[in-house]
Amino acid sequence: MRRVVVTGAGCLSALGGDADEFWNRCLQGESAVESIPQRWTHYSDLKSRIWSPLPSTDFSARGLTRIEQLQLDPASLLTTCAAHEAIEKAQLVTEVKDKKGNVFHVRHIDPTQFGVFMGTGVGGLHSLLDNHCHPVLARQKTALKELMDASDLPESARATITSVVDRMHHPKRVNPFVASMFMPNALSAALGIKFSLQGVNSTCAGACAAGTIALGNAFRAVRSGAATIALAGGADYLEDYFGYIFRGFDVAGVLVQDYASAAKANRPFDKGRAGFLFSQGGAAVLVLEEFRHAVERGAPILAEIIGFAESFDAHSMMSLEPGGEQIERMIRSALSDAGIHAGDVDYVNAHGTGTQNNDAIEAKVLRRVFGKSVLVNATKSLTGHVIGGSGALEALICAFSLKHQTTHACLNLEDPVEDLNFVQSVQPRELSVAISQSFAFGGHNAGIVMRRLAQ
Amino acid sequence: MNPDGGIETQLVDSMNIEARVVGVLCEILFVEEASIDLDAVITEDLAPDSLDQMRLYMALEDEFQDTIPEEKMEALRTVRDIIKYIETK
Repeated sequence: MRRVVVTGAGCLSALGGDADEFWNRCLQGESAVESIPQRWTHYSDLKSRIWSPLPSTDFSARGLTRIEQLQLDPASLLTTCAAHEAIEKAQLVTEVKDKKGNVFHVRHIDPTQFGVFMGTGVGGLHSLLDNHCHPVLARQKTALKELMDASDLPESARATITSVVDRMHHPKRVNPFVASMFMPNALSAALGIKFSLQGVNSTCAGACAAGTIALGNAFRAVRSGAATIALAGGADYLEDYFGYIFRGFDVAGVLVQDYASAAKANRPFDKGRAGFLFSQGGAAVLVLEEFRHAVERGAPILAEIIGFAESFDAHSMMSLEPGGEQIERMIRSALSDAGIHAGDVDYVNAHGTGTQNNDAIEAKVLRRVFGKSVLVNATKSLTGHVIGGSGALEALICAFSLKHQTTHACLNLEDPVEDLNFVQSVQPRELSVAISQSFAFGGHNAGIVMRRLAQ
Repeated sequence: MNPDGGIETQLVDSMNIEARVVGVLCEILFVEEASIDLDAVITEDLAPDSLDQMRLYMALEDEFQDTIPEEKMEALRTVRDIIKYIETK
């Protein structure tokens, strides 16, 4: 059986513009938590009032042209940046193929054997919502302005209409590329085009587990020989002008609601947890490569991927099956796929969202499968929930943890929901095998198993 | 020295607009500045590809932070037409 290794990683998240910054800030226990944009509260009565915003990103400085920035959804832009970093870190050599299109090709690699596997929760929803506002609001706004110009309205009515008109935000026109911006597969298509990769190219829409499933699909493709090398990961961009995506989760009651102490509000696996911290978005991309191919070209190796499995709850669109039986089956299947036992696992990067049900069920499953000695942390305690991007960011943390023999602590975990070996401090560890697991709205469960590769 | 701004300012603005339009053409169509004839027909000489035409008008809108109505785009046949249109906006 062909072996699969991770030879590069890149990301862009609330905790920095590259993988090393992300990793270091996680080790430092940093989290980016701020009040939501004030304007969102004009449109909705929101229960949650905090989120984790992305840092300002200069896409031009990262080599993306004006046209790329105008015709790609932010999720695709984030993905492209993360992929570019992953390719460089994997020491793959790119050269310009088409200056006009700002397109590259990867030297010395058969492009038909280079796959792309991306996961996303909402695809280009930002672009859809933004452009949707034009037909919905533009003519109505003009009509209201004409009404004010033509009629002898009292000052109070004029003030009310002005206030309404001011809040009818829309773009000046519908972007002619919008259809290609909101389609979910734009994420993987953007990478295939950008780097001239002609192998299997797929986007998985698996909500909060999408990144993990995409990585698993890439792993299987490289292991089976369907691809020699692949870019794989996940991304989402969850901001829109009216805060509607935020509202979708807020109205479901899953977002963190104790915002009196913003820095301490997000606390996965703590008894006082109160929902997940909504992230503006992020992307992580890993380079997965057939082991001998990587060795022959002298590539750096972060970790080996040795197993993957998925399961489905068939229970509810929005809540985990209470017994966690399908999560447990998924974990045991992933261990079996890797040819190892539960006792071989040193570290679990948990899904750990911070919602009441999720954490309680996940903690019980972890205790059943692994006992209480396995190390457990929740990267979402630092990043918040990036939906389709989370699984890939967490897989990146797993690979770095195996590489550097340490991992980050669980932020704000003071009173654990279960007697598990939660990471409370950053210190040297002996980590040979790690699992990153994700669960999603819909009922999808997925886990990827990695092993340290001695250098 | 022209204390009012007046004609001198208008001349500078006009030259700026021309330079910026030509700059956008070079950027989007990837052509040399010297090769751009102001009387060249956009859809025949510079951007016969319809996607390039869309990109060009999108970039011009971005450059000048204004909208060019679709019916107007069809009427803007040459580079000079574009410059004049933006000058008169």
